[in-house]
Amino acid sequence: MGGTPPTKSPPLTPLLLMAVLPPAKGYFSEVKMTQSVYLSARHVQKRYGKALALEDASLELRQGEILALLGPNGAGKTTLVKILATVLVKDAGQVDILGYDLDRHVEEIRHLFGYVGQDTERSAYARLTVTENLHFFGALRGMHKREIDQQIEKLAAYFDFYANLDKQFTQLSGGQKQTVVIMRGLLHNPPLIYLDEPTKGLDPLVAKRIRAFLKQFVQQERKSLLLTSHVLSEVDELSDRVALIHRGTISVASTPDDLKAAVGAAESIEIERTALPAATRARIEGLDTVLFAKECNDHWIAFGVSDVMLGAEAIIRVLREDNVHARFRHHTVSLEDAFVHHIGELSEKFDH
Amino acid sequence: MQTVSALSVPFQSGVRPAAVQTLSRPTSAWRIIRATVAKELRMTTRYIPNLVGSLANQAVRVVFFLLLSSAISIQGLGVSGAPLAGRDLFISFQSGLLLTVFIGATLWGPIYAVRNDLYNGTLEFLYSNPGSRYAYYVGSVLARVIVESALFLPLYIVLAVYSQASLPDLLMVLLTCTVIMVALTAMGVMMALLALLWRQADSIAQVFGIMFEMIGGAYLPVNAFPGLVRYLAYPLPHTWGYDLIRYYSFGGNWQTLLLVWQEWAIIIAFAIGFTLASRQLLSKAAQRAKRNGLHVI
Repeated sequence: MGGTPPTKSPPLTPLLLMAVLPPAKGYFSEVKMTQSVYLSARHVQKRYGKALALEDASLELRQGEILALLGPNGAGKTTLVKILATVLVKDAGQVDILGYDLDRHVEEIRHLFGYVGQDTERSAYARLTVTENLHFFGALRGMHKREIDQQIEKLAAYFDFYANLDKQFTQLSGGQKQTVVIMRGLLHNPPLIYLDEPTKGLDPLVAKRIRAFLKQFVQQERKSLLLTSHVLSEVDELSDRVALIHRGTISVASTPDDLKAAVGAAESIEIERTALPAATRARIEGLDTVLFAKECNDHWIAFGVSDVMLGAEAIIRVLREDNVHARFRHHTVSLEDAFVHHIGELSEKFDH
Repeated sequence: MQTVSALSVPFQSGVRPAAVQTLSRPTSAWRIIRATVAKELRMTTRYIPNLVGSLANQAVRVVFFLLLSSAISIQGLGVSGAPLAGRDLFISFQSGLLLTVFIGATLWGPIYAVRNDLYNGTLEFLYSNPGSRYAYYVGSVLARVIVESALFLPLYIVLAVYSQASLPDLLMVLLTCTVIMVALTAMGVMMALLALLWRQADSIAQVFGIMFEMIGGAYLPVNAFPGLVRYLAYPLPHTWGYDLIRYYSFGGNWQTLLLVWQEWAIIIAFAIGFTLASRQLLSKAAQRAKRNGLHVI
């Protein structure tokens, strides 16, 4: 790698956020020397005219890791992936990929990643068969015919896709087209894979199969995968770490469990709001096992608990003593809760 | 805590670690051209109505010019200042038509490639690939030239029969077409770059293309135009190509705009100059498109 430290100090906003957010296990933490960082992006900036798409995007992707880039619409996820895929040029910042500087070695870098962008419905030649499409794209990468055939064979086996290899791209369903585009991204056996919303618009069964494949593939082949997705259950299931991006800034990178833990409690007891008198609510909030109270929506109040059994028992006791008849339910904090929580905090900080 | 940076990565700058394997490797422009030609030809066979339509289009043009040449004459452009009419006028039209077929392939091949890749959604993927973009466009042109040869051959035979030109003259017609094709392929790549940067440039380029064809002498010889139009025609490679083809089609009995060797020098200079310029512009335009995120995003 270039070996030069970042020339630009991080902007003030992320530093402030570091102070208020839990310590992230990724970007800001120590990484063992033995663990190879395949991709390192530091302080990447990008503007479209006057519009700022990326303000300060920094992340690292390690060997054999799935890193999910998570953020609201327009946060800059796709822009960052396109910069890494050399489809867009960044305005500032430093990107190193497997020893190559993105500014100086773009051609070398293009051999090292597989890219699956959005809009896969129309991203191969409609009148060519799956095999013909893959042969063409493989030839552009300098692959020999025999290598392409072997890779098609291997990927078709992974995806159980033999029956569709001789079909024209236009004859495939949405899920099958998506599979072809993922196969194309993996055809040259790249060490790095970028997937921009890979299961967008797919039915749950196809999406599940693709997820299962990706997980298995990354583990078996020791690939590194950068993923963007709006499907939080997918991110939770697939990713080793999650990077949160908001308004063009990556502020948190951590494991899904740590992100959830940062909400304050891993589990909560939710009680029907209309049936809960203020005095009872105050008593519950005062319990040792209750960490916080939060109004989830118009109907429910969530009480975060340190231990679900002890917490539930204590809350039920209070409800009985106050003779309150209210419905209650148990809720495990999901990545969605964590996402809403973190993005809410980030928005507040940005607005200030 | 320590900020992780590239310093902690045991990679050597600019050298791929030996442990990192990929099947992607640098490849020759020739291989990309071959792959692109094969791809385009396959696709053409799956859009047969388009091919039939193009053939019908050319047949209609030939018949139209045959009828037109029996109905009109152009004063002062024939042999020894005689009117250009009848069989000679048809040969003149047919010569223009012959080159127009290949101009269609070369000038519009790259722009069609960009348009098709936009339609197919493959442009973004191609631009994240390590292969030569120039080779890809040249491959698209070659494929179109091969397909258009199906149109060219009948036109060429008609010309040979009507003009009764000698074999060397007919071969010179082919050579002229080839050199003009090289020049116009490069011009076509430059027009494709405009399409890459601005979607609307596609339509505007088509208007200019038709204008170039007309003032370059595709239908009427440049000598038939008023002075100003003639000056507009001189900077176009088409002009000299049409003029040379007419010269050889008439077995040397055609008043060229300049001396024949000068016209050859001009089209060869165009071919070399445009090729060099378009190669430079291709990378610059792609960079600009990627910076602005106009078309490729």
